[in-house]
Amino acid sequence: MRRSHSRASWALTLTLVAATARAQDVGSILEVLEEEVVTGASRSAERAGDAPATSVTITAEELRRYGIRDMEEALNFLSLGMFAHRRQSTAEVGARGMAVSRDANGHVLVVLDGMVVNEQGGGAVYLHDVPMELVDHIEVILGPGSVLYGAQAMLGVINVVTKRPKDHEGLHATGSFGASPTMDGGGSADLGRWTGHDNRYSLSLGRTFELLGLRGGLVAGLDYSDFDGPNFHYDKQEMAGVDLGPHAAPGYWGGQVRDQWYARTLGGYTRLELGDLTWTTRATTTRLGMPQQDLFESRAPSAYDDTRNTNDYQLLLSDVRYEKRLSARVSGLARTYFGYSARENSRFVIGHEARLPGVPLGVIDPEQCPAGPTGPCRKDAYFYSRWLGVELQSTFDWLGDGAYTTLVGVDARTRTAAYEFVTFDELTGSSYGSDPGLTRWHAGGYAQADEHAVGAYLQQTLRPTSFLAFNAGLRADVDSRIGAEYTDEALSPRAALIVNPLDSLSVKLIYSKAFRAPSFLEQNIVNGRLLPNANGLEPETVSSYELATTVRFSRNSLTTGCFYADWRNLIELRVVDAQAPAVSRFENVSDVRNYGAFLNFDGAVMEGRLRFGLNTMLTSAERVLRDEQQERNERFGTGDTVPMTVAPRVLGNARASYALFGDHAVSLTGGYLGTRTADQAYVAGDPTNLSPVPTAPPQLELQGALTGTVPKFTEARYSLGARYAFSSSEPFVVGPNQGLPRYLNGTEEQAELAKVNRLTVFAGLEFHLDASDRKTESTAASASGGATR
Amino acid sequence: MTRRLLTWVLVGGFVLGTHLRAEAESPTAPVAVQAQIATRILTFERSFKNVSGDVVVVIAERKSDPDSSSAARQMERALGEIGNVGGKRLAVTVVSYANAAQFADECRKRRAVVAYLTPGLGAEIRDLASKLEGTGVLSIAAVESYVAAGAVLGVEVVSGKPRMSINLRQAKLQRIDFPSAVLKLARVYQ
Repeated sequence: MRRSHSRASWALTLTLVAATARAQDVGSILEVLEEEVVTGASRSAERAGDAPATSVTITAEELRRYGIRDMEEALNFLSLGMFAHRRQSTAEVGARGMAVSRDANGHVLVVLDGMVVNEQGGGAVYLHDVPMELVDHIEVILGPGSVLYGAQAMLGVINVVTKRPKDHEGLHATGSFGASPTMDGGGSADLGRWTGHDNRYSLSLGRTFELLGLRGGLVAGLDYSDFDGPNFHYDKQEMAGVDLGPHAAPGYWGGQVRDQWYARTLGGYTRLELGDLTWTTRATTTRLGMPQQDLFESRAPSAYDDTRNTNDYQLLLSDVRYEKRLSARVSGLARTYFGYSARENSRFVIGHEARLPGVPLGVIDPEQCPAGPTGPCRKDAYFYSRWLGVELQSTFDWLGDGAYTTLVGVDARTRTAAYEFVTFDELTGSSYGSDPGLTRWHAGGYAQADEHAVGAYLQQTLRPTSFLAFNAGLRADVDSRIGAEYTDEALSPRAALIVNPLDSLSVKLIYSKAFRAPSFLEQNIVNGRLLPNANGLEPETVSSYELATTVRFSRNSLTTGCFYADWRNLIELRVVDAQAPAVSRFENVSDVRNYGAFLNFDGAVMEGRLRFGLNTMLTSAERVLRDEQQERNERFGTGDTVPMTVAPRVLGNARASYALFGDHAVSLTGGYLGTRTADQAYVAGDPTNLSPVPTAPPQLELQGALTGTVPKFTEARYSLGARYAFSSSEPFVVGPNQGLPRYLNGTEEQAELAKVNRLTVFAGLEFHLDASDRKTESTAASASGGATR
Repeated sequence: MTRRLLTWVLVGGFVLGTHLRAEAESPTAPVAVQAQIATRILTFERSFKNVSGDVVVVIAERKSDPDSSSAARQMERALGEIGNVGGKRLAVTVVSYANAAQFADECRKRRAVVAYLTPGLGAEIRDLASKLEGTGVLSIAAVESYVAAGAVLGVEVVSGKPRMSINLRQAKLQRIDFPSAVLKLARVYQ
């Protein structure tokens, strides 16, 4: 009897242990819950493992937990393979070890809730246009993506998805305040003086409702960011005979910077959903000052550290879409979209350039401030674009079960782009004129063009079995910017073979190609320093081959891969005459070989309390010089390739966060960019006379944050943190010494690099009022132990 | 001119209104993801070990609703590819949904373990929930908002990742019992 009791108790114990072990071992569920669902790669929701591209998703929760406040930080601290240099006021994005300096991010496509954010004149996109407080998640998709998005998706696509009304119910107010200390001449932080600030404010609401028997939702918000860089110092560079105003010594550029490092953006966002109809609008206005004197300012010797030098940007995007399933096998989408952008760069010039003998006032290059009788002048450059488009898309599910689907679409847009250079007498306000007939050198100074573009695309997905999938697509674009002889270069194919030998293992082999049509500015901009290109410009193209493997186990995932990308016909400014003033021309200057390997690891232990991640990429990007370039630089021992500037060969980030008591969390994240050759070390591939070769040292940025709910006030959250950069330099040459091709000018110049804001300490508060969804969430979280990510 | 404009506005409004009235519901997560979660969570359900024979899944399809038909076919295929759960074969049947009582009867008759509720059944969920009480059937909704109305399990994508929702009260009424380790992973409706 006793023995049978013993057996029974053993059996019971074993059963309990087994049951407990099974109950605890929810890894198989977590494998699915932790796998990202992406929409950007094939424009439909699918598991990241099934998507025909390598991507990472940055969630709103991660942004909050790591104290991330803007897109630059999100890319540098949390993304795989994509990075952003701040360039003191406007971020420049690169990816996979490749970056094209001064392209205003024209090689990456940013999509906000389905709207392309890149403006349609120069293709520029600014990361400050993303409404960070409304972000639900950001998909960073690496590699060419023109197959579904058309031009510009060369480095990748940043697909920003904002919160749904039901996830943002209530009224929300946030305020985040940052402070930065003054930097000394060496770029070190002086903790005794805090002269910089970086503040963000937002007010938003979310509502769900029923109207006419239809479900509806509204998300609307206002956001304002106010950055004022700390005081710092640039070394002096000689500018003989030029007066740069009261903040500079006569005849010199450089000295203390107090006023001209700032960026302020005011933005508004609305999304109204009613049934199958969605109307989204985003508008921003930005004013920023960049304390460096770069190529543009070198042509216009603007007053040093003067708030009258401004850069203004306005952007308006609006999109109305109607999405409907027409039958069990056919669904459709129709949308119309509108965009407007304006950029105005204004420079205040005190020391005029010498008036040319025999040239009457008013018959000038529109960039020139002549030595007039009245005083200082203002040199303005205006860039405008507006566009209107329609996109129709349909999906055919041949068997009705999602296994064989065809996506077809057509996207047509008309756009108007314009630029103008105007010079004003500062005292009288009268213009010196920009009439092309009166300009001195090459005509130009103004142009406007109405353009049209149509793209048709097709994507076929085949999933014959659970372990094999094939995704192939092709897009053809006809664009008035692309000459008839180059239309085949605007064909963008993609093919991806995806093998899932196990549920938790996927292997992808991807080929993709993308293009970028010459922008309106590259084709049309002409002034005293910019010559037209009589031969026309070819589109840029990039072809990419990629192999990636992902293994998932419980909350963890490991992705490794490698890629090779072949860039052709990169369009850049080439200096064609180094005699003062130097004259440049946009040309298809070179090809680039770009390859590398990457690793991404995401993991969590202790039931998700401790989370960690690592992204790293080792790359090479080499510009292949053309024969004539090799010949003219042969005497400098240049060889047949030179490194791409600005982009690091090694980049990555690592992060860890730990959930403390309640929902408080502490986190640390670090972003690393290896040694970078400065932008002006090479001009369009030609080595310059800057000596020594300007190079930015490796950059390690660390950010720590403490976040959570304010004790005894559950509707409020706080964040405290600091970001510190170990290096003070960015790979951008500042000041008048911008360098000239060495084969044209052998006089050596010494370069100075743009500064990095070394330290920012920040504190933030969020209030969520009438947040019925949050109450539900908190109920759920408490019931669930807050274990969901 | 004004009359013509007014006519166009009225015609446009009518056409738009007609289409808007035919508002559709879509699955709130890819159906393949829902299938994966459904089959993985099922093994944690305490009475699952008592299932003898095939694991029967009944999919409710409203034939007049294209979203419903599409989700039904996709789920049927996804479950077919998964093949089995905990060593037991999955047997999937799509039934035409007429009303809650009829569907509940189908589930009982077929000894269903899982009922998948496709889009377009939003107005039926409360009725369905009451009819499925005591059956031991795990009702899984294609649309997450059905969970609050009475489906036991739903999946949606939040911040780029799938998230489960479980109606705990309804689960108990349907004799579905998940361990706390599973509940910790879900948004729980009490």
